[in-house]
Parts: sequence; C-alpha cells; structure tokens
Amino acid sequence: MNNESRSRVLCVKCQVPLEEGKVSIAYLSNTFYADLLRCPLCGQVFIPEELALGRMAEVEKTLEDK
Amino acid sequence: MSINTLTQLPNRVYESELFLNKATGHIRPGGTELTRRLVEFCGLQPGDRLLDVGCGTGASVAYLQRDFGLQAQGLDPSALLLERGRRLYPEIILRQGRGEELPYPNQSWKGILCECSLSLMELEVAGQEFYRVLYPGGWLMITDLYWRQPHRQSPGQVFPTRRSCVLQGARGMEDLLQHLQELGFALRLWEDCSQVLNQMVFDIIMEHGSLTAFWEKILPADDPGLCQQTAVSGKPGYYLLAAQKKWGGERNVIGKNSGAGPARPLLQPDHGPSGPGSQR
Repeated sequence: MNNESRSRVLCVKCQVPLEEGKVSIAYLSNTFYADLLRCPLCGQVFIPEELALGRMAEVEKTLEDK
Repeated sequence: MSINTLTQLPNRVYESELFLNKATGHIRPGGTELTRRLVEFCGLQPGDRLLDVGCGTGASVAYLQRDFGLQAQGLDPSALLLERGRRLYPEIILRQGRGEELPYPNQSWKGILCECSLSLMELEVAGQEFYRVLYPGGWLMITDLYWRQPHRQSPGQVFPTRRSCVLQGARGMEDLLQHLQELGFALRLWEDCSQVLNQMVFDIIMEHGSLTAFWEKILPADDPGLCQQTAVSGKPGYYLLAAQKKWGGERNVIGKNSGAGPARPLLQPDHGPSGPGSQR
C-alpha cells in the first residue's frame, strides 16, 4: 500500500482518516513501538495484512528462536 | 550514504547508516532511558565532567549536556561519525581518538560512558586508560552487548567476519566482571536490559523484512546465515553496568584477589570523597 492510499484509510467506526503515529504492540512479555496508522478519535490501529502475515510473523519467529 | 557494494561499505560496521536510529540519532539499542538510569544512579550533578568514549555522532553527549547540565565531551575513532555529529550537534565538543589511548590527563573526568562501544575496544588496555583518567571514586558507566551463553572460543575467533563490530568483542558476564575487578573497579550496578535488543530486532524486521536480509546488507562479503547462527547460539543479551574506581590503596589488593569470582552487584553507589556535590 503506497503512502497516498494509506492516508485515505478511514476509521470504520469514526469515519475519519487514519493518521500515522507511534503505537505500542504487546507480544508475550514484550512491548514494541512502531509507527502505524491509527484513528485520531478512537485510537483504533490499522495493521495491513502484509504486516500481520509478513513482518509481524517474522518478529514472532525470530524472538522464539532467540 | 549508499551502501550497495562492498567497496562502498564502511570499515566499521557501526558507521553504516543502517544502524542509525532515525528517531533518536543513536547508533545502538535503546534510547536515552538507559543513559538516564546510569547518570541518576551515579548521582552525577550539573557541571560534572563526563567523557563518552565511542560516542559516535555524539547524540548522548548532546543529551547529557542539555538535560543534565553535565560538562560532557565525546571521543570516537570514526572521522565519518564525528563529522556527522558536528553537523547535528554543533554545540558539543567531539574529538577523534581511541579508548585504548585517551588524549586526556590523569584524573580529569568524573564519569566515563561507553554505550555499545566497549566491545569494540581492547578491554584490558582501554580499562587501564579509564582508570587513569577517572577521579578516585569516578564512575565507569557501560551499556553493551553480552553473551548469555558464551562461546567456548573468544568471540573474535568465532564471529565470522573480519569487519569491526560489537559481536566480535562481546563477552560473557563473569568474564567481563572479573576483568573490571582486576582493573581496579568496584561493581555497583548490573542490570540485564535485553528487552532493548528485542526492540532493535523488531525495528530491523519492520524496516528490512527479516534479520537475514539485514545481515546480508551489513556483511555481504561474509556468510550472513553463519553470522546470524553464531549470534543466536551465544544468546545475545544487553546489560547496563556502573562501576566505581577504587581509592588508591584498594586497587592492588582487589586485583590480586584471584579466584574470588566476579564481583557481586552491591546496588549501592558509594559517592565517597568525590561524590555528588563535592569540590574538585
């Protein structure tokens, strides 16, 4: 997803454009910080499928290997 | 800086912009929280003289000068990083040099800070230099990589690259603490901070897709798979340490106290005659 289409993602609940911001992601006993799209009103975060199935899965696998 | 071919790679791995945390300006795991923890534990006060050895671009020097009012200066062997630092932080003093040969007089610093840089130095030589330039009771403050399951051979022999990187010089905890004790330092604080490595791994995967892809960019002339395998087998961790230069007479006694094992964390700073608020 390119930057232009990312900026057009709307919050399904609030119907306002999501904005990029730092969010915390909890995994097992770890908390990570990443810049993701989130709703400025309700705080809901958008995690693209590529991120969830690709890089996030890679993080899980790598941390389990450590 | 483009890093596409071997000839364009810097000699020192840490000079690569791939290691630069764009948010904090640091070239190491963690942000300023570990630096703050050390300075607060050691009770450093505004005006105290602190030398950051292996300062890179000087991000911590600028932070300590700005937020703590320390008289902080930085030293690093990399002309490339120092040049970058002088552009980023024109208000700070940075000097080119090595930890093994500090260009400062005896007993001229209240604190020495090494953030992910001690592993790049010859510990025995640099440690003697740290001892020489610190005030009696002065503080050695370190954060660095260590092996939680040390390799049998020295890491320099194990880690399969000829380029300068911390994985070659990292040690096990007991080995490190034994050396510091013999050099004349009393351990006051040891904390495992390996969580910052997890965040670094997370950031690398978010940016590069996988750790393997990152190794391939950093060490293309070596075997990235073997590098990763070697690193993982030693169970890398990250520590924070504060040790205090012993008063004159104590040093030899402690140094000859062989067989006593590594120093135990006392978790109590001894501010002694050159502690916070004292006159120099």
